[in-house]
Amino acid sequence: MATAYFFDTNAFASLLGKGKKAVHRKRGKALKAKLRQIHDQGHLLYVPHMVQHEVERLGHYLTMTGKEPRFLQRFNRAVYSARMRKMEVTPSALNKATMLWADLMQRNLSVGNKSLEGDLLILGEVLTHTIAHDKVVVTDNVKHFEHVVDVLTVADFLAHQPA
Amino acid sequence: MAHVTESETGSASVSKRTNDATGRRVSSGTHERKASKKRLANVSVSMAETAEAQTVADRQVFDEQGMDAVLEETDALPDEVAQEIYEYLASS
Repeated sequence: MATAYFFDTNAFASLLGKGKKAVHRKRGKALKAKLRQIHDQGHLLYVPHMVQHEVERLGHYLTMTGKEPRFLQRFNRAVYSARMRKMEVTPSALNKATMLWADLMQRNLSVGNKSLEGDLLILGEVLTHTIAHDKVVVTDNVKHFEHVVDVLTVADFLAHQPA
Repeated sequence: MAHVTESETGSASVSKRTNDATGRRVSSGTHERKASKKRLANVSVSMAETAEAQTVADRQVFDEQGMDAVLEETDALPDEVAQEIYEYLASS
């Protein structure tokens, strides 16, 4: 059965930027090869709307400051070249994120950080996406997702062999 | 059945009026605009169908060169900018 992979914003770090550590610098090429393998095996690759928002606001900042005017073009080219599908947020996804937030509050779990707020919206999109596939989120913020969906870190995704 | 009448000026060069399907009087310009809208709507549908078929066809092949170009451009970035991008994305 095909799997639907949903990519968090941090999964794009090695494709569009360069980390200080050598292992992170090499990850871009490994990620490209893995995306191709996953695509060729017939699995689906998704970019949630919230991820597009986080990437695009960075792109506008980089354009405004003249630091990297081609950033958005590179992001879109990466998404298109890997045949990733851009999602559009729906009212159902927002409602799901609302309930997830309330549930965390009710259980006295921390909701007051920026990154978790965004990840709740990604979770809302993933959970309400109607597709008859297994769903896996690829993210390095495992704690924000693992209580609800299957998760792979970016490093685990590189070593992962889909069923 | 549509009636055709002369305009108020009686000039042959100005638009004429007819009754539309609901019996309402409309100028010939209205008929032309409606026909034009219908043509445009059909063109839009046709273009959308073509784009969808193209997208499905495109999805069948992973664009190796496109991804290589993205990585090459990332490599060519000044270290300071590339690291700022990495840190923002990695922490999101």
